[in-house]
Amino acid sequence: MSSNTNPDDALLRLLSDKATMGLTETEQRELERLLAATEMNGEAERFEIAAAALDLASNVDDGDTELPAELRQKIMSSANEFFHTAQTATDIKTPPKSDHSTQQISVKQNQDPFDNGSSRGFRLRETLGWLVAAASLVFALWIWNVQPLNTNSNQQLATVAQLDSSTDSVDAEWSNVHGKNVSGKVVWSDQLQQGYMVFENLPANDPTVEQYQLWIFDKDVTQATPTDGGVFDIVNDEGASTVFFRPTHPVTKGVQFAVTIETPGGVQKSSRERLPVLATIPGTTKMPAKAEDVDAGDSVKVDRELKQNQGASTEEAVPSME
Amino acid sequence: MSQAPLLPRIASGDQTAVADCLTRYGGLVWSLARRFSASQQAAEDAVQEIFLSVWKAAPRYDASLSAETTFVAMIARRKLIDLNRRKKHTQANDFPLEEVSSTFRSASKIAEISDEAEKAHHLLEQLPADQQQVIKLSVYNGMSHSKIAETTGLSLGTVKTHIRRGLLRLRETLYGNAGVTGGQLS
Repeated sequence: MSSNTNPDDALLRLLSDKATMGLTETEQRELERLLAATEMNGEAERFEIAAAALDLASNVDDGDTELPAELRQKIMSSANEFFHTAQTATDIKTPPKSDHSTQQISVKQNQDPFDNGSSRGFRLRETLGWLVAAASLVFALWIWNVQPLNTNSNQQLATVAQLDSSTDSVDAEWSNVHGKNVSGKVVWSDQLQQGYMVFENLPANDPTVEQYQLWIFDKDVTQATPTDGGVFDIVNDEGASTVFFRPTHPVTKGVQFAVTIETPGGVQKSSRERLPVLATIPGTTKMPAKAEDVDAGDSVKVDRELKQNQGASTEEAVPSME
Repeated sequence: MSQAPLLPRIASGDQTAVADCLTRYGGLVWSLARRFSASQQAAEDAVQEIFLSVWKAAPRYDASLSAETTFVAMIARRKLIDLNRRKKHTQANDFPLEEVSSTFRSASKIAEISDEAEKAHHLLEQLPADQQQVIKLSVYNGMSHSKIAETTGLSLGTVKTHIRRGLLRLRETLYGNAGVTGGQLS
């Protein structure tokens, strides 16, 4: 974006393009920057609503089109799966301002009302927050293609308990890089090859626009080439959300975990331009980024921001992700 | 317009609302998907993805911002634009110019759809023919700005200005002063 461009022109161009043609990743970031600078964060959706209204008004079809019966049936089936999966997912909603202790999560989950199958439907309807939070787990697992989410809550509680009690499990608090006031932690077991993350204040994302992606750094991998931990969504950013994960490839010793914001479906290689949080397992050696893998300008910029957020004593490096 | 909204029921986990949602919005979404998709199969796949997005977006629906129909259309358009960008389709289904420039839904039908659509219809009616055509080629046909310029013979700058001006005017009609004037548009 040229510095002598009228900001209003640039903003209107991006709002208009987004509503009619969509934006590239770079344009989307520029739009978000301009909207944040002008405190007009809801503006993009208003323009999209306007475009939708113009579309509705222009439609030559007089509204008599019907969804084909077979397609309707497919959607009904997928909706059944959607609701069933959400219903059987573990309660991953924890109280706001919790101390994130795994014990507290376990206690909360042990009180999961959905363990009693007879009352599931009624309680689900009463518990919007649970549904929304659980959905983030559901979508993460679907997209990761890890294991089909046919587990029941007892199994997931067992996973938490197993991770918490595993002698080799490690945990680390999130540090904000580009994120603001995000807290929580990541718990990981090399032996079990799975973990879970707890987030507070990680903003909800629109999965049709962007998704969070987890990267796991392995101590035994000499290059700064992290393992893709998969993409996930934060549907409700009120209170804390927990997301379970399994890496796509074996991790010998997970020492650092980073969350980036990427296009829907995730990326093979991250530019690291949007990296809300990072967690380094205490006592592990920092991961030096290979010079040839990292754009020096970006590296310096991110490292500077990291130190600004965390104080000059911060020793964490921000490796490249590919 | 006076129908009770369905998305709050979806958001609260009421699965019985799914069938109602498909009955109410299935035709709309199917119509949009066919228009934006290159094939029947692509349209069917898109519709399934759109409704999944609708279930996911249900908790975010705000009745003070738009009618539910407009919100569903917005979610559908967003998904279709995204799918087309991924497939690098700039325009999958070009309508003949004569059809685009001369056809509207009936006014009574538009009034039934949503308040926003009715206001959009009024806005379109007030616009000069060339601007009206450009907006419809863009929002209805999903045509890229450069393709519209090529098709209509208007300059790219004029096409972009027509679209931005139209969207900004409707946005201000719906929600008041946008706070963004767009320089030359003010």
